[in-house]
Amino acid sequence: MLNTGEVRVVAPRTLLPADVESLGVKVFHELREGLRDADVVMMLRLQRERMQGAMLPSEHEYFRLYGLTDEKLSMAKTDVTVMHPGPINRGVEMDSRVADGPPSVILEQVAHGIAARMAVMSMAMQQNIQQQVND
Amino acid sequence: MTSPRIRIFGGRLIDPSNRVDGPLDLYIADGRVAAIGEPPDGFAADIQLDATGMCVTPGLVDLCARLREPGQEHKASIDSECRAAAASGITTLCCPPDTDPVIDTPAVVELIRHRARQVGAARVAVLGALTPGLQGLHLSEMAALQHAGCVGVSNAGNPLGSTLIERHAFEYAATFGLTVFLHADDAALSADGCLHEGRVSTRLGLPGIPEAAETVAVARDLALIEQTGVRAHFCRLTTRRAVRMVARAQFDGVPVTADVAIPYLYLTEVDASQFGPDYHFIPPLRTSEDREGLLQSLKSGTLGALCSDHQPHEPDAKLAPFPATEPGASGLDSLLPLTLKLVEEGYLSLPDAIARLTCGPARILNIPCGELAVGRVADVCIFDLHANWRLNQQTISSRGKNTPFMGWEMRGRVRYTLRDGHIIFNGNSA
Repeated sequence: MLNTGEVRVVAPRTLLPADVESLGVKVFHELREGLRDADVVMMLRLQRERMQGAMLPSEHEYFRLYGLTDEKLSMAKTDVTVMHPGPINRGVEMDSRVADGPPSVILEQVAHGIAARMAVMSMAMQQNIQQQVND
Repeated sequence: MTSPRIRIFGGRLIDPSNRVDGPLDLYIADGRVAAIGEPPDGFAADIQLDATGMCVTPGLVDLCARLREPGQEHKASIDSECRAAAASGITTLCCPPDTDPVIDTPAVVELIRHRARQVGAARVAVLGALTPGLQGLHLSEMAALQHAGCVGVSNAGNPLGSTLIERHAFEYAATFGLTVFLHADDAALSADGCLHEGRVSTRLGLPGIPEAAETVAVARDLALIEQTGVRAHFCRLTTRRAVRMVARAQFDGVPVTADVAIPYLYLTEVDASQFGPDYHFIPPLRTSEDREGLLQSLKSGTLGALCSDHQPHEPDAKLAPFPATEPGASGLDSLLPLTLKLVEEGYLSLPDAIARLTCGPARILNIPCGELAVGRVADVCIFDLHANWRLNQQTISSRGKNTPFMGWEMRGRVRYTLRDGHIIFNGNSA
C-alpha cells in the first residue's frame, strides 16, 4: 500500500472504519505498539463531533491513550518523521513539544498542502476549459 | 503483616476447576497454596485447622453484591457487608457501579478498594460505569477506570440512550478487553412494572413486566456483542427463553456468559401474590416454567455462575405498598446454604454447585481466584455440609434483614473463611 512496507492504523474501535484491514493496513489499539519502529507517523485531527457522537469519553482520556508525546514517540525509529495535515488540536492528538520538535515536518506539510491543492484546482479548471473549447 | 503457615487437615477438598474431589490436606504459606495432599519439604505449620467431616473449597466469588457505600450507608456499609460475606464463605464480592456517587471516576474506585482493604474481610472487585452517571448518554473513561482496578464495566439497571450508544460503548470496551456486564431490560417494555406480567399481576391489578422486556434486550445485545466482538456477561437472567438465546449464542462461539441469582431458583410470581414486599424483585420473579428452565441451564453450564444479588435495605424501605417498596433482597447469608440445598434436591452435583460459586464467577470476572492449585491465592471456604441452621434476625450477619428466606432452614454452615492465607472468619469463635 502506498509503496510502503507496512501501513498501520492506531485507534480505539469506535473510530475505525468497518473492516479496515481489507484495505491492507495493520490495526493496533495501543499507540505504543503501533509506533514501534515506525519510519513515519501521520497524526490526524480529532474532530470535536466525535465527542458528541459518544465515540469517545473525553479529550483527556483520548490524549492519555492516543495523544502523541515524546515518551510514546521514543518507540519509533530514532530518525522518525512526524506529520499532521493540520490544524492541530494541541494537547488532544498531539503534545506541543512533539508538534514543534525536530522530527516534525508539519509546517512544510501544510505549506506543501497549499501547493498541492492549487495544483489540483488548476488541473480541474484546465479540463473544464478544454471541454468548453471542444464544444 | 506476614502470612501464617496453615495446614488444613481431615477435610474433603473440592476444587472443581482442577477436578479435585477427595480427602486431601491443604498447605498454605505466604498467602498462597503451597501444597495439596503432602506437605512441602520442611513445612512447619503455625496454625492447624481441623476440617474433619467438612468440605474445603475455594473461597466463594459473589458476582453481585450491593455494599451501599458510598451513598446509602443507612442501608449497609463496606465494613458491614464485607464482614457478612466473610461469615458466609465469600472471599470476593463484585460491586456494581450504582453507588452514590456512581463509580464513574477512578477516585470512587479507589475509595471503595481502600475501604475494603481497611476492613480486611472479603475483597471487593469493582465494576465501573459504562456511561457517566449511568445516564446512558456518553461513554465513561473506561481506560482510566480499568487502570484504577475495575474488572469490567456496566450500566447496572439503567438503560442506554440508544442502540448507537450501546454499539459505541461495546466497541470502546472491546478496545481495552473490558467485559461489559449487562442487565437485559428493555426500559420501554418494563416501564413502571413491579412484578411479572401474567396471571398474578392481572389478579392483583399491578403493572407487570413482560417476559419480552428481557428477551428483546437479550436479542438486541447479542446482535451487538457479535458485531463488536466485545466480551459480555448477562447479569441475573430470569426467563427460560432468554437463557435459551444465550445458549444458542454460546454454541455459535459468541463470547458471552450469564448468571442467575438464588431467589429466581426458589421463588416464582406466585410467591409475590400476597403483596409481600420481600418478594419484590427487579427483574421480577417469573413463572415456574422459567424457574425450571433456569435450573436446567445452571446444570448445563449455560449459566456459569450463581450469585446472591445482595441488596440490603433498612426496614423502612420495605414498609410501603408493594409497588412503592424498594426491590431486592439481602442475600449473602443464604448464598452457600441455598446452593447446597439445590444439591440436596438433586439439581446439581456438589462439585458443579461449588464450581458455580467459585471458578465459574472468577472466570467471568477474569480474576485469578476461585481455584486451589499450587501457587494460587489461598482463598478458602471450610464448611460443614451437614450442619443445618435457621436464618433469622439473630443468625443473619448482613445488616440488611430483608429476605424472603427468613425463617427457612439453611443447609451447611461455614466454619472458617480464609482470604490471601489469612483467617477472616472463624465460626468457632463467632
